[in-house]
Amino acid sequence: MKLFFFCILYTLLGIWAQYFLPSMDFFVPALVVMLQFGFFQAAAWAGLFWMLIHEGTGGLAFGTIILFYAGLLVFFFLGGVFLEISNILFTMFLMLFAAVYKDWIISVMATLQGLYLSCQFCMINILLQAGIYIAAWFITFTLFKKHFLNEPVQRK
Amino acid sequence: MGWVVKPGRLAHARIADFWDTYVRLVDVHKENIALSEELDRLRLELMELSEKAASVYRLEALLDFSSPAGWSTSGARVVAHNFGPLSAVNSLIIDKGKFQGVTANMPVVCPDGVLGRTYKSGLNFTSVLLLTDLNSRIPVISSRTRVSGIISGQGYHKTLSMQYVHLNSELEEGEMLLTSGLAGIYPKGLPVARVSNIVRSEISLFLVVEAETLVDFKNREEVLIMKNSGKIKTQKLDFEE
Repeated sequence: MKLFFFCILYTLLGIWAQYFLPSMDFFVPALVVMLQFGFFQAAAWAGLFWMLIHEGTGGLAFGTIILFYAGLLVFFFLGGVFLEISNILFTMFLMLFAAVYKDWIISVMATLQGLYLSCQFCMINILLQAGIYIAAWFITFTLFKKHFLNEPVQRK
Repeated sequence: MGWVVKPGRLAHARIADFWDTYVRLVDVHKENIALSEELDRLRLELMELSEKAASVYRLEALLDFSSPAGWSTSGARVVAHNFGPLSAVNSLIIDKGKFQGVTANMPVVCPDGVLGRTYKSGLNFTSVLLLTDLNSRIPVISSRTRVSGIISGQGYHKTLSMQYVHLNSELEEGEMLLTSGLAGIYPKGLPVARVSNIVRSEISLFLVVEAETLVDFKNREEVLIMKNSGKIKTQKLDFEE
């Protein structure tokens, strides 16, 4: 129940953050933290909900965010084979990958739809997104550590 | 008796005076609190009314907008700009969708001029492709010299570009560009932009024409969606669903 309210609150805050910082994503860090803490079922439901939010508000054809989340999960679990998933270095790599991959997938999907983008692979956008991901991950991870460390989880 | 009554009356007068000036201050204090609260409430009300008065001016301006024959308008509020990571195009989100009869390719305007057109319509919300976006193309005609061309966006905060204007055309700076109605999406005669710069290129067959938008996209709170009565057929573009 605590996790459910956390997801609701995070979603509300994330939506407002996206309102104030257009074109930025705030949901990935919470998804990663939930996966790192082993809340796979909650991550699946929250991820599905956030995907619908992104797809509904986005200007691209349906499927872009599904590809984005799928790529992110592949990177996460593949990285988990070689590294400790809650390792800070791994998380940094993951967040940087997510920021670059987000721009790349949007560019590919826009090109496939015959759309021109005014900011294709803008370094400033990628850096800002990476910064947001890392900052949001740090805050969420700290909160999770404080409030959810002893919660029963689903292990891999 | 006077000696007895007078001090008594004096004492009574003093006590009454003390009562009125000090003890009753409790009531004054209470009244003060009540008045302060009332003042706060009235201040809030004043703020609310000022906001409403400001919106009345904006809405009056929208009501003054007369739609061309065969077209009707309905108002909508702007909910967000470029919302979410997938907002790849310069867009607004408005609070009307398919349930309110808003579909793709409907002109979105305000009293100052054209904002763009509806792009992706949800059940209750719709994305509006702004005319500043790289994917926006609007056929226009100049108001005085009647030179036609196509206005295309070059990105947010950038000027618009008017394409396919012949070198020998008489287009002038400061001239208003209006929709020509050729593409079928926009009715004829809506103001789109004002010509700001004309450069005669030596390597091109066309003039390089820059134009400024007439609308403040960032601070727009209400818009009008135009709907045609069905006499004009609109066609979806390749990239639209």
